[in-house]
Amino acid sequence: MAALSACVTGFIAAMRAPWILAGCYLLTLVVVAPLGVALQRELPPPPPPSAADAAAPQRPNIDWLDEVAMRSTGPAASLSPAIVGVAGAIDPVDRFLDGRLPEWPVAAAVAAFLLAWSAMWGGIIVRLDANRRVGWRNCWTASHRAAGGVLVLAVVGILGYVALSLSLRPVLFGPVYQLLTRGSLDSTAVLCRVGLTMVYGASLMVWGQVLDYARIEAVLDARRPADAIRAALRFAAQRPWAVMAVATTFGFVFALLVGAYGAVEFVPGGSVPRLSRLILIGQAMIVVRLSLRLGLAGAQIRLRRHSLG
Amino acid sequence: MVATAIGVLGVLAWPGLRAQEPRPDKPAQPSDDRLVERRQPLDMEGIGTRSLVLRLQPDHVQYADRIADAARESVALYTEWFGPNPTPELAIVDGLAQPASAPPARGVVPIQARWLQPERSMTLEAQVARGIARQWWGGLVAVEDRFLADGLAEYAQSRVVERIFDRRFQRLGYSLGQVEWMDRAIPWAIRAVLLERSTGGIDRASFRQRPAVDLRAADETLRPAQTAKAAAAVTTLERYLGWPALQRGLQLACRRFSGATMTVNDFAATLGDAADRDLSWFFDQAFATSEVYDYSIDELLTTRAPDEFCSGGDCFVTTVVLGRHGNAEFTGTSQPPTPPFESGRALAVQVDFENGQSAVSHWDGRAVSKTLVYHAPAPAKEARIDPAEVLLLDVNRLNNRRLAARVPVRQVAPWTVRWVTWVQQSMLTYGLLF
Repeated sequence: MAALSACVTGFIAAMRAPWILAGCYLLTLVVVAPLGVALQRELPPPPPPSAADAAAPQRPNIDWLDEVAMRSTGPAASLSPAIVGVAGAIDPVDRFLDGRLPEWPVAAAVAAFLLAWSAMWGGIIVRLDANRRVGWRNCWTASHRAAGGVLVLAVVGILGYVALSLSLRPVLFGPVYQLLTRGSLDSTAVLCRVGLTMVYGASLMVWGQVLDYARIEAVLDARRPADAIRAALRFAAQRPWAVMAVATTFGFVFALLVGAYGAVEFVPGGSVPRLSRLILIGQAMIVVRLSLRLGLAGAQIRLRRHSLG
Repeated sequence: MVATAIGVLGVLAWPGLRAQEPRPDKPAQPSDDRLVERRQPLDMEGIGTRSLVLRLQPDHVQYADRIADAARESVALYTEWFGPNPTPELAIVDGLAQPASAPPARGVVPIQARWLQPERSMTLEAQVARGIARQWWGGLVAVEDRFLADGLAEYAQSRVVERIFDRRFQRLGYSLGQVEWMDRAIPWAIRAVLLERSTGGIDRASFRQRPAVDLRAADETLRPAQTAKAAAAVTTLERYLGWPALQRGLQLACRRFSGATMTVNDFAATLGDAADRDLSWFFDQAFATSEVYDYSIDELLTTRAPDEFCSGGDCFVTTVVLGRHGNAEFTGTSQPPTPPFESGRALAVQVDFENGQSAVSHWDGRAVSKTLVYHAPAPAKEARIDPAEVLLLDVNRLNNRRLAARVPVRQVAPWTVRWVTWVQQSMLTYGLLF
């Protein structure tokens, strides 16, 4: 019950801080905008639509896209069918789980975002913990004070991700997968792949939770990164079910969100929407996803507070 | 969070995931008695093949109807196009790989079905149609060069699958595009991405990766590129000669070389006989060399001519510079030119003007460069070489079109918006750990 209560109150706390949400959303736009402009300038004209299709929104021409991507050395090199529709939401998750790095322009954007995102965490946590306005100055001070520690935690996070990618992943999808699927049917092999992906994803989730709670400890208790990680591990070990329940709840809501995003494609005209609708649906997805991320942080802060009594 | 999301998505999106098959004790092989056999009569007149046998893995039986439907359509259309195949029984065997060098076994069509097969992604139907086409090209007609048999089968399947897709979904196209996740275990058909027969249908992407592939190289890794190049060449012939002429040629080839071996030269001569023209100018370059075709609009300039009057009003001079960047030449004839005159008119050049008028010129594609000048009452809007996309062997189609002004924002904005949203999604995904 504590976990469920933390989820609800944490999400409400995040929603009561719309400026935080707006700031995070603007950050994603500011980081990606220069690359978007570069891409727009780089793209050659696609083949003209036929007379019959002239009035309808232009359907993606994948042959043209493939040719553009193959000949580009800039942002256009990362264009692929995987960015269309709901595939665009699932593809990054698949890459993340597969340990595949994105192409350099995307990797650069992600790195810049993560740097700024890490620096903002201090203010975000203080605001969500207070659950009331704390003023820009306090947010800024908290971010400034905690930035060093949070950045160190981010580096630790990367190292942990790399370590899991290089150790657990090869074992799961190498010998374990071979053992489970030897002589099996196609369906069994697919199910094993899904199951092992969930196991690997769960390990990343546990690692992510430890980092989240360590970040909260570092900001709210002004702990050093090593102490914060120890405190987070202690906290997670004392309340493993509550910690997992909070993360799982938000994971479930995220899955529903992706499902709803995908369902839009089945609405008449939804698979090839007009430009305005394309922007609206895509950016709405980003805002809701950010809300969930901030809601998760709020829930974690509530759970910690609840545990401290 | 990610793991939960993946699991829930899996259960929501792919109901088949819940129906787990019992795990067998040993690998499933085509000879394995666990393969499920389905027999279906082919009740169609004028078709040599009388019955169809499907031998499928137990977890692929759910696709038996799709496979049988594709097989029926393939046999009917190939019989109509190429002539009857005397194979009395056709066995479609799941899990068999197409042998690398040996000709296809008579009456046996190998396929590699998958447990998860999106309805609108036609990869399964394409395998069936391709395998059945090999009963003609490589089976009925022994083909000396592997790439030619592969290319003809690839081309033939593209036509059949387009028909099936059109009939099933009432949309003109070849298939929906597909992406695959979890190390290719989970396929997903993207509803917005409609593949065309002349591009996705003949795997033009493989040709694009290796346009100068040696068609006769024995390296198995080159086979997709060789097949795609040969299929692109046959599709180019279809667009140049027209389907009726090409179909006559294919049927004639089946008649002439039934039970015999056909070479590339035999094929060229047969097609030439059917179309009543010499096609050696094309075959010599497309099949006998590794040279590539690359034509372009190198320059488009349009300026007002103050001293000229067109139709009693202003006059604009438009200069279009055409370029040939590959060594292969798409001429239209083997007859050498007599300077200053060209020989052949295979390449069309279309210039569109602001007032809605268009001018179409032709070029024999031999010179490295050619300049066309137009005097018109309106400035040019755009110029295109090969506007009908006849030459599918052109390695770079991006330079086939040039606009007089900058690319209108709205033409490419949807891609920018999709890409920006995707990068934002990537940021938030990696942000889970930070």
